[in-house]
Amino acid sequence: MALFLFRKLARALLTLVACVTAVFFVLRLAGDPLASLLPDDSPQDVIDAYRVRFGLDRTLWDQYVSYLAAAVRGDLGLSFRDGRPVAEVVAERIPATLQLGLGALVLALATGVPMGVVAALNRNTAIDRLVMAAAVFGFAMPIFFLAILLVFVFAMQFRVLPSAGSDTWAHMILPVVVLAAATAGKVARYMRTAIVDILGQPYIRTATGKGLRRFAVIAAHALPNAAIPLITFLGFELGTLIGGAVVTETVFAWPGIGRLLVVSVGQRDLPVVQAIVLLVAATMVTASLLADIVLAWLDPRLRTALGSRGWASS
Amino acid sequence: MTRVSRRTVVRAAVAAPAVVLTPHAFAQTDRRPVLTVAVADLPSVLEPALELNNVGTRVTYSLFDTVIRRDFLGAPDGGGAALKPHLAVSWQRESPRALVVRFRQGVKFHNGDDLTADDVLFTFREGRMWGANAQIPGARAFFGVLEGVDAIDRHTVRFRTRAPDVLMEQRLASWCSWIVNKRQYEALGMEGFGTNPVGTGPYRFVSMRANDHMTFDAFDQYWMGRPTARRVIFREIPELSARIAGLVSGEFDLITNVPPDQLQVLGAYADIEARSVVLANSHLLTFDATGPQTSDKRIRRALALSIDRKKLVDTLWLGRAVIPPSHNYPEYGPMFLENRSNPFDPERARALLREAGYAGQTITYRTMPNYYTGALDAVQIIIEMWKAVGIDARLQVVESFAQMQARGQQVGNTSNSTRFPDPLGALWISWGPNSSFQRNGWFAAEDARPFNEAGLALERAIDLPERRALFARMLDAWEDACPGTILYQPFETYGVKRRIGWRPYSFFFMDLRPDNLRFS
Amino acid sequence: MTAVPLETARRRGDRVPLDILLCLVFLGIVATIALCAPLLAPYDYATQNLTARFRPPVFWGGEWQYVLGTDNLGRCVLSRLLYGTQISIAVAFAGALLGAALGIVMGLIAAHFRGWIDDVVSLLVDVQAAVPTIIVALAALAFFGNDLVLFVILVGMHGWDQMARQTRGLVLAARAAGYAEAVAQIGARAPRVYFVHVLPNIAAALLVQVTLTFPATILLETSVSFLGLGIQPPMTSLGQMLGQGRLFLLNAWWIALLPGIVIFITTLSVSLVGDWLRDRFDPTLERHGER
Repeated sequence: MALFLFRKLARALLTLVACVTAVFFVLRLAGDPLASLLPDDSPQDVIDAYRVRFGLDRTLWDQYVSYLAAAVRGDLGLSFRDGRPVAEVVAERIPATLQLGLGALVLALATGVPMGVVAALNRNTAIDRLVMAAAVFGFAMPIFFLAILLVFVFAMQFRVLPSAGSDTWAHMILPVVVLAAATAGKVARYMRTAIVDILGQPYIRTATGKGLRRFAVIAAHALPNAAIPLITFLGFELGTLIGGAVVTETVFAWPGIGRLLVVSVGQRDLPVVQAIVLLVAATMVTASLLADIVLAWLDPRLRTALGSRGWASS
Repeated sequence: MTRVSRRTVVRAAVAAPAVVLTPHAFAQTDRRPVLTVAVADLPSVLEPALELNNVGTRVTYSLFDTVIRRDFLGAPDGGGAALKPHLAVSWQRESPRALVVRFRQGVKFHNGDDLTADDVLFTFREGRMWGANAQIPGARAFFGVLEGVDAIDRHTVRFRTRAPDVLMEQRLASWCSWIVNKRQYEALGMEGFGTNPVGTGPYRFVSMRANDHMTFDAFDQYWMGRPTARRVIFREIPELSARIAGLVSGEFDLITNVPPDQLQVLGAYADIEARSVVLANSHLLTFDATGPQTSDKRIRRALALSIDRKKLVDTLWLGRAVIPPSHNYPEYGPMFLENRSNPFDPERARALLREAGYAGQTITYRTMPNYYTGALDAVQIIIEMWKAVGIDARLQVVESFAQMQARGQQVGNTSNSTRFPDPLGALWISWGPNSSFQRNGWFAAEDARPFNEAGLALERAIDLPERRALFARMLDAWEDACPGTILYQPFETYGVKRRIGWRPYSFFFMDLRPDNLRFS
Repeated sequence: MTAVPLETARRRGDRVPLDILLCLVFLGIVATIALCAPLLAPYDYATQNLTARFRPPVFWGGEWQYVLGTDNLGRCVLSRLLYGTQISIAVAFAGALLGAALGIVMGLIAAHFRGWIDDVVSLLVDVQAAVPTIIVALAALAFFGNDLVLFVILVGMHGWDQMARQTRGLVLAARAAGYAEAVAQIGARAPRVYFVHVLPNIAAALLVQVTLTFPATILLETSVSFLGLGIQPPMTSLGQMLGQGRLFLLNAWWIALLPGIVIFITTLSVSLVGDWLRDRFDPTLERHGER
């Protein structure tokens, strides 16, 4: 297990360093950062002063090393917009996004898992088809379309739910539902497949054969087994949630990372954009590391498979 | 929302002295409502003279007071131009070059300081406002004429100008004359003050978060009386549909930047009202003299002549935006020139194009999608109008001013505000030698020479017929060079809860002073 | 590869079920539109009629001149819908092809060379998977400015990692089966071995993979355009129509809802058909579904 952990950890770090490197070189590829920062007619001495300040007068390698060192310290530069440290600008938005994302994850699991189980137990009946139709509807629905439909109906027609900001609990309802819909649909499909498959396994058939109640069998055997693919899936799904948060936060004026990203892209606030990309990468890598560890802990047989090569990790 | 009855107001007033002594009681006794305003954009700092734009002044108007107050609400259309006492109780001319202003006594700053001549001198000091290397470059357009400001006594100040200046009173009523607190400013410096401002206005700064919100609380020692809202929150909601949905669902009391197409939407709700006002601000197209094709003034004039402004106003602005007669507005009073126009003449445009040898080369029109209300719709219509006279224009949507003004631009958009009702407060500030148009060569130096000569003479002239003649010369030069053209004065619409008594100005300021904000 | 238990033998009959048939018909229509929108559209997508703004569709009390009504500039919504579908599908399709090509090549390289090259490719796949494509796309559009070619490339980045993973696995399996080695021993060169002998054998599985990532590609294009950053006016796309049109939901719902419905039914159809193809042709394919 220790070797496994070490390998996974090293791999995660390597991925992160690769991300930071990629962002650095893409940024340099994008041209002179000063061109977007300074007005066209800036005097040469001003340009030179900024060059020194941002270290652009040094070699690319020097810049890269100091950039890497600064990124490790969490020093991501200053926002172009108001000159505050980027780390601070981004950090103050994290709680709102976490609140939205966790809310959506909980809702997706709370609806998706039961839906999948119900569908599996009633396989090939009308109930199954109905539940699965709802699931397909959930994940095929473009998130922005669902968002504006819900705003239209609940905020503008019936005027029962707020639609902008995060002041009260009621503000959470619409954005969380919107963000959860796609994931809930996918979870339901996943669970259905997993449960149907497990119900077909000999040990479950044996258990039901022994006269145990069906529900007890599912609770005791099928669900824990289904959890393994579900965890793998959720590791992937985090990306969908983060991507969905960008659209959701924009439509609902939710003061989180996603809205900050869209606003910063609009204002070409490159340090903030870059910091958000790195933050997302760090989150995703950490999540997939945690998922691997949990999987290995749940099912030791997976350790060799998971630990061998990067390819196996997903 | 809590309704405020007269009884609660009386009760609150009685309780007020106790409130000062026991801050904890404040929350319970203060029944005044909270006002939440959703705006499209918020300024990044609150140093009032540093954010001389629609976004900044909308907010800073509640934190600071000007020396003299322009009485916008004195006219039914919200565009009154009379001046009335504000922080200044009276002012008089000592000579054409000196104005003596007596300030109100007992005015408090948010930090408890008394307003004195020291603060005024600090606000108008050379290093901040008008020196060669003034901290706030934009302020020179307003106060570059100053030669010195001196204190006569604790509450009296003399403003001296280098040349005779008939506009000093107007300048002191403009959005550049907000008085800042000297002690706070000296303690924190310009940057620190920008995020922790102290003024004398009806609301005091509490907190801000970039791109998100600003919170101000009532300043109960305000010299005009106790503010009517307990707290004012400005929320930045760039998405129009989110602002409207938020107003409808009750999270916002007031929203800004509602385009005309949405009036019908707001009209569907009984408790919401659209309040519109034609702005003392015009939308313009700019023609870059350094760009290909637009370097020829005949082509620039053809571009201007082939725009059917009436049609734009009728379709995009429900016929209610105003097409001013050139860069020339009735609010100038005696300085307004009657016989001017903003012509639509496609025949003349075609002739000019032929003369210039234009052969269908592509002209790039850059615009930001949401900065100016209706800009994206207007540009698409204008491009079709140009097509009708044979001009091939291509739209490029960009995200920032920097991108819009980067090399390769030929046509862009901008807006010009009438900072004070005189050509020197509008045309001259927007297009004069200190403007970015001249500094960057978009308004080319040789084209600008006659314009600048007339303008510099106008700055020193005091005799009305002479001033009118100089203004006419300026305007002729500007129209002939055609570095830009006026489209229309848009009307700005606010979406407001009906129960809120509040009138908009013909300018961006949002007046939330006790005499213009009531809840019923 | 993830050990996802699969429900087997679902829908394995030869008859095409009705829902899939409907989806295929709809996709056929979308493909026709994408190929010949200019022939079908009654007007150009940019033609304005300023005296006929906000006209409702025929079934909502409008006139036959504008079957699906007009938008805020008096442009024919039907025409814009056709052109918008064309652009959206073209961008998504170009992106999907690009992603598939990139993924296949990367997968082949990894499977062929093994060793450290394999490790580098797998690291790239991890990096790609670490940042959701929409975030990469927004950041890149911020860094480089708006550009159609860049936009297509960004859309193409989506899903190449899954394609590479898939290809690598399939190639290794094919090599294990032995025939690639056999061909190689006759003296054929590596690219020839892969493109002539290995690829055709795994083509069906790869095609299914493309079908599975395609809905996400459409959603990526429409999301970015919805946010106002992808396709720019006067050009139009389904996402952009929806983004601009949502301002008029209360007074002219057709401007936003019609493109929204087209996007929804398209992604729904592609998803269902993709699932069906997978179950029918390749039950061993991993079930990532849409990311």
